[in-house]
Amino acid sequence: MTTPNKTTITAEPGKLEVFISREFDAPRESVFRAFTEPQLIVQWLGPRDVTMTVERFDYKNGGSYRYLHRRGAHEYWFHGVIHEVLAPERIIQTFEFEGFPESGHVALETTKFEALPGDRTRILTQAIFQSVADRDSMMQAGAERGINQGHERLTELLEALKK
Amino acid sequence: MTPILKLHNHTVVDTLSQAFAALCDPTRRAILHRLTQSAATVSELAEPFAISQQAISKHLAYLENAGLIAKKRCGREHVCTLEPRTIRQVADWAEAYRTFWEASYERLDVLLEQMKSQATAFPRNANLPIGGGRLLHPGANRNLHPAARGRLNSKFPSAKAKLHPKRKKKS
Repeated sequence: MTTPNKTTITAEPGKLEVFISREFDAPRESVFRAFTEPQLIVQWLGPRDVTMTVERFDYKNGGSYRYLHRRGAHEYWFHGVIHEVLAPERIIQTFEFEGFPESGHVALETTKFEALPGDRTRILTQAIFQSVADRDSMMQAGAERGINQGHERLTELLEALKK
Repeated sequence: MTPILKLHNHTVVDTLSQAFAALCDPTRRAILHRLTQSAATVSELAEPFAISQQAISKHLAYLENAGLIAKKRCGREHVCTLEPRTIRQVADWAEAYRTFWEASYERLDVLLEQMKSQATAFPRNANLPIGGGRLLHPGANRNLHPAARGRLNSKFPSAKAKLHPKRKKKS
């Protein structure tokens, strides 16, 4: 399957926010389900070399979640509470990475699911952090995971070229 | 700005922290923007701003310290130029973060395609304690935390038996 869809990240220097936007060739209901059902989300959230394990995943107003991303011996835990689930339009939740030296570095995430013509969907996530340093650290951590993914793909490509 | 996380590549992080701290200021961003057009002397850079040349010099020192610009002596003047390597690092950093999400969303593309073509293997089943419903395939169960898996199995003891035959073969 080829996809012309590209992820857009907007993070202005010195601001508390990050915006992540992406379109999908699938109806809004399906995309929404992929975000809110544990057996679906474990199949896509995180790069391929990360195994996602769900400990708690209760997507309803006032619910909560906790999950693990594991890469080799490295474990990355995340958790948050669900402020609002408005199927299939909107999710508002908190997000905290448990790997910081102290707890309390929480982001507020709002994801909107917009139905587009031709059974397509656009999602827009706004994450607001408590400080610019928090935002930049979180992006740095995500970036490292992304870089690893890039390396893995490069390795695969090089292996394929050998054959 | 001290990075909160312990990171593997300290050199990159330090450069980035300094660069981002430098980019936090609108005057310094305006100076960088001016330098994208051409190199400029300190007095040329000071001209459009309603602040003293001394204040501009402070901003320039900050930018130079962060590795975003370079200053060279040219006669009696200092000429400033952009330092593309650091700018590139900042751009790469944002690109790497995008790559993380792109990697996830590419997997989501695949999942959404599967949901379209094998609707029966992805039954809608709301109001369940862990949110999802029956096991979609044995692999999905493996990815659940043991505690969650226990809850799921006790609630749906025959979940595996109910799997779609096509999905079963694939595992």
